[in-house]
Amino acid sequence: MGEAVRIEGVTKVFGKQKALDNVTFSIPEHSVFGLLGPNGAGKTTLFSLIANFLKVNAGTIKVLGTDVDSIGDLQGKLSILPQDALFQANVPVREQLEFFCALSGMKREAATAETRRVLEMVGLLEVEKKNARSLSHGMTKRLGIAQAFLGKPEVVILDEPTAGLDPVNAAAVRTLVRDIKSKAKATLIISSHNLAEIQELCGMVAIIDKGVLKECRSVAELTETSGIVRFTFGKHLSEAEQSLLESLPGVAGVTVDTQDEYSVEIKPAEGQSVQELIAALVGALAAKGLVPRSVKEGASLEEKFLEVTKAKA
Amino acid sequence: MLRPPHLKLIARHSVRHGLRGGAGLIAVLATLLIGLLLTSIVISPLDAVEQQLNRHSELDAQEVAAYREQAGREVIKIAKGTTEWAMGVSDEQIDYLLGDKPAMISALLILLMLVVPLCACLGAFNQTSGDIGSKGLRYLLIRTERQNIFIGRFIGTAIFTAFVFLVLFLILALYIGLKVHVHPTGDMLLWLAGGYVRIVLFSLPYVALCAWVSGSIDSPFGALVLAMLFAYLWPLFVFIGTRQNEGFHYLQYATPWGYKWWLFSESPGMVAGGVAVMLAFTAALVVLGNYRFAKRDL
Repeated sequence: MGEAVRIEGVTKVFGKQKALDNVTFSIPEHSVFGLLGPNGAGKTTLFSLIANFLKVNAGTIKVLGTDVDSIGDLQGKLSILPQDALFQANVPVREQLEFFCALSGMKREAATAETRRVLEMVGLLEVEKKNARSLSHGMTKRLGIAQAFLGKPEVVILDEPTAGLDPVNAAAVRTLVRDIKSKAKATLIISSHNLAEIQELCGMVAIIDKGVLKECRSVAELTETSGIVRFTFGKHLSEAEQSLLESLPGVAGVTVDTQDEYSVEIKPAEGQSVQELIAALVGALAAKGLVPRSVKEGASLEEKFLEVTKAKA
Repeated sequence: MLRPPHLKLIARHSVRHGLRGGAGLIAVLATLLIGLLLTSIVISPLDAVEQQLNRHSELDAQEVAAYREQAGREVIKIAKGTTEWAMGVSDEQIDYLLGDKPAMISALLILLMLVVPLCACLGAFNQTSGDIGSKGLRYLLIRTERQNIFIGRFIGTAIFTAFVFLVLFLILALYIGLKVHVHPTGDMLLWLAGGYVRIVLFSLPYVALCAWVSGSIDSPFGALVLAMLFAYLWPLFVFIGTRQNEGFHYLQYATPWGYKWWLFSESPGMVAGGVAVMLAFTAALVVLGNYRFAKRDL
């Protein structure tokens, strides 16, 4: 598999502050790649550098083998949903997208058809004649996603596509990304503070903290922690129920991850496989009326993220 | 790489939406207001006479003609005073503007020339700074090279500015054609058309200046203030300096302001020189602005 993006020794300084410090990693072609980091870690800066909005102080960035300084050569191949970028408030939605299409070399009819396609994809066809200022936050976000998928981009960057959206809209965006992931051959690069979302959508992630790259691996590798199984119950367990879980054979410890999610450290008996132990645990819990909604092997991405960024309380 | 189709698209989009942003509308209204105000200064004696004549319908044709002739002389006197005060150029050029050309139109054009930088800056200050601040420019940056955005918007703004002046001049032409008979109407309209071309040429370096400033900072208001300071502070500095030392006079040639009367010279060579200087300043400012725009974080 080739490289969609190659970031080599990239440093970006704002005044006296180093936003990125000698960051090096690559993103494989046709992958869904997550970029994680706490607020101010440098994610948006890195995206802005990839899209050539900002200029690097040191290092190089290549997209599909082309230096981003020659951004014109990437026309139509690289697209982005920039964070907090406003559309022209007083220009109709359709006109703005058709203008972008025209810049990509499409004729009028093709631009109109393509605009309708992406607006339909994000469910905004009914507001195509409205000015961008009349759209809600969620609609504007979806419009941003629509413009990112105009044409046939090979690399698509989505900077916090679900930030600030209500659960319904956020789920709609996730579904959209999943659809695109299954249909298009594009490389998707996504940043989000919703780690469950990243874990669900992405095959690989990079974690940046204070401008420094901390991890860049597949999600499976990153969360693979032998002996950890995550149970989701759909409710918070009472003390008695948690004690019951801890007392089951093969359970070495229980950690509460979220309201209804528990990381269980397991120790299979000799000759017993992890799968057999998990099956035994689920059976024992079910017998006591505690049926888990889901059971996943490995640590959560959130746990790993907190460990890597040392933000764990 | 400059892409002519992109330049055309961006320029056209910029012109089409010039008015929608509000700032464009303000520029149109301000230019019309200032232009009509200056016109009223020049032709107010004519209006006053016409009002008096309306009130005294008992006057015969000969008396009316005499009144109008006197008003015409008054207008030419104002034009002469205005021209001499504003230009400070050779007697030959004054004679050319007041004798060979319709004096009233010359005076009007000369007054308008003094406010061209102001009107041009009002229409051109927000070429890119607003979109840099709102990050809206990022939707374009991914689709074309920066120079296409910068130069495309400059071209669009220059066309928009020319259009705003055209609206003003059409109103003036209509008014003068219908109401003013101090000079032959054909001569007045022809000189007005020539004046329009000269004013548009003089506005170009200021539109380019705004492109540079607007592409360098993220605040539209800051861009307006900086451009206006450059446009008027330097001539003011030269004006004050010249009163202390004659040598300061030469500093005026550091900006387009110092060459503006070349465009109204009696010598075709001097006019051609003025045109060349305006275009050279425009090109230099666009190149400088484009260089800055291409290198900066957006």
